[in-house]
Amino acid sequence: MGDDERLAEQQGRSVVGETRELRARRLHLVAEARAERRRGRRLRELAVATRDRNLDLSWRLWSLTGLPEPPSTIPLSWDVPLAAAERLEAACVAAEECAEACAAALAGTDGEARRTLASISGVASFAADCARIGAPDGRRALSLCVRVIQSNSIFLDGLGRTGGGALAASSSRRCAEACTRSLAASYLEAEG
Amino acid sequence: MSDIDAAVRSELLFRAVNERILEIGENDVEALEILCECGDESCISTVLITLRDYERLRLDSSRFVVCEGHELADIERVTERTPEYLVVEKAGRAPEVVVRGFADRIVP
Repeated sequence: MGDDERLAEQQGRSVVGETRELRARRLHLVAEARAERRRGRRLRELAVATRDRNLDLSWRLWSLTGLPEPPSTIPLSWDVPLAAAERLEAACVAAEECAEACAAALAGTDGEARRTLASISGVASFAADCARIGAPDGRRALSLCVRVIQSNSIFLDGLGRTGGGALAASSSRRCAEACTRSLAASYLEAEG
Repeated sequence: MSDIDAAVRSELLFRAVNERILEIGENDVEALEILCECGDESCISTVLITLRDYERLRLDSSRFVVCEGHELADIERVTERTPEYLVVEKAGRAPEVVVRGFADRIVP
């Protein structure tokens, strides 16, 4: 073997060795990048879950009068896209809870507040029953429930700041929200 | 659905809700804040009425409690007028529609 050939062989081995090293380094970098992406995803999920948990706790604190104002947004987990039937079930549960909470709050109130609570409780209880049995006037009952709760929003704001009425106020708000979503879902499904 | 049917259907819905309010409030309140039982589906006016008066009125299923100005002259006539509300009684074909509505149980 001549000098030129030996030199060429050495260079070839060097290039092959360097290529192996680079390939190994590339694989290592790819693995690191994947691990970073996984870590990033986990951190994002953790951040979303923490934010959701924080919002959920803030809503609970508000309902227990620990916060003067309700949070400006709701947790993402409260807003999972649902079909009309699931939305109706959610509205039904929310209306039942609202009816119970308002009826329970009657004892701690008097006069106009007491009458309004009885009125909201009655409307919510009726809407829950209509939704539960699939009454022909179910949508109208849900719509009426939303309108009655919304028309009493100032009263509910005040009630939410009292110890005994906070649960009734927050339940009513949730009920109106759930009924509105149920109505929207049923209209969209009927159109679609 | 005719105008009469639609109006009576709304009134029956309001009546059914009010009966629920009565059930909930009868042991806790002396006066009830019930929904106006008029034929306008979008109405959310309320009427203040004593338990005794409302229980008396609802004995006759063709009588409804409405706010002043919410009565429908075509299908009902005013039988009682108070500062808080009017009591109207169905007239013409409307009583049949009321009876049919109860029979069909359009509301629970």
